Amino acid sequence: MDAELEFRVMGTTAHVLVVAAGADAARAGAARARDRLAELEARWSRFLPTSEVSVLNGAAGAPVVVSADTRMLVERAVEGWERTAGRFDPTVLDSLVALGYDRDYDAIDRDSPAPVTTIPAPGCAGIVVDRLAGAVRLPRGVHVDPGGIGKGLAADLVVEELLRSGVDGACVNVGGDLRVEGAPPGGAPAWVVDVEHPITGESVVHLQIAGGAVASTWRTRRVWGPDAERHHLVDPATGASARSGLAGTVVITARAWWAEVLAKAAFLHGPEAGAARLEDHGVSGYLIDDTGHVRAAGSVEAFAA
Amino acid sequence: MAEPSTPGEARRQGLRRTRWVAAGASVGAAVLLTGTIAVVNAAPSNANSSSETSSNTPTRESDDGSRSSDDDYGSARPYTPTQQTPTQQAPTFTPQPQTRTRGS
Repeated sequence: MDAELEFRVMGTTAHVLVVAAGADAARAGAARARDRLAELEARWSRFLPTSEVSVLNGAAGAPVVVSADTRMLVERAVEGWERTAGRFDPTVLDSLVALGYDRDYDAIDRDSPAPVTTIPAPGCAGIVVDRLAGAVRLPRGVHVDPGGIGKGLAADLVVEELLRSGVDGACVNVGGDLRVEGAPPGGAPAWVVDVEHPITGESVVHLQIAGGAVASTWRTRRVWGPDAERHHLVDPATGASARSGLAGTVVITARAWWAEVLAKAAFLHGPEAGAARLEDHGVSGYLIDDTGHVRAAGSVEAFAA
Repeated sequence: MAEPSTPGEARRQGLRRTRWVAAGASVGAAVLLTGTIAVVNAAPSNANSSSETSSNTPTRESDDGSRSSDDDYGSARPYTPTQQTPTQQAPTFTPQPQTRTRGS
């Protein structure tokens, strides 16, 4: 039996599908997923002053004891920064705030003037995770925005927890960062993910996946400014909204947090280098340029329906 | 390493990879951090260079399940139809989207 939920969390819409032996078990699994995502939002939202991420950002260089979830989030974010040579950078919070993304996206002042100067991201050097003490320390002046990697890691955590609890299959999609594992719903032989085009909104491809993750990053999402000139994909080197020749990227890999990291890094690289970097990492994906042209990278034909 | 000519280059040259294996002793408002630090100056020489670490690079050991493992950097598993004998009818599968990704 299948159960399905759609709800708002982490500033976006989440879609949860759970497959279990009975209807009650499927519904219970979906409800657990919803509650767990809400718990992670409470820990990771930069818009909630009581969240662990907000406390970290306000600690002015002091170590802060955090949950294992948050410790893992910071570790994954630093790994992503290391492995992409800083293209993915979670320390872009001050850059985003300077650009006007200083509150929940729905409440942003769309007509706010562009900043006179931008703020480059300081990078992750010096971020310390003390695993024995369960603490994290951000250097003074370093502030993190979990953003997409938080959504991806949340999808990973919740799917893995659902499967450990005994459900047969699960899909957790947090605003485009999704993970699927186990038995698909309705007796289908594969999970099928529709990938939308970031400019036209039409379907680019249906991906058939036995298990794994998909993340998509579009500059056409979360856009503001009098001329819609700002968006949330910040180049950490400049602190400005990135212009790379791409409208969006889609990455298919084993884990959603890693897919999100590579989607951001590939976006910053641009069409040619972005495709090459995805292939260097041994993953597949699509890069959609500013003209709407869709470029495949890696072995996407293995997934395309 | 060449002298940086742009703020972006300077920033990337300044990247430091810091890894702590800490033996912390207390929790609370002030946590005493002790341990060893390995700092590797492995920043790219300029912003356009490709110095990303490939997925084949060994990852840090996953000793408590918190750190990532090599599995994290693997590929998704594509759907592979079950092989059929010549006399068997292949199952019909019309892929209907179960979820969609539309950018984050």
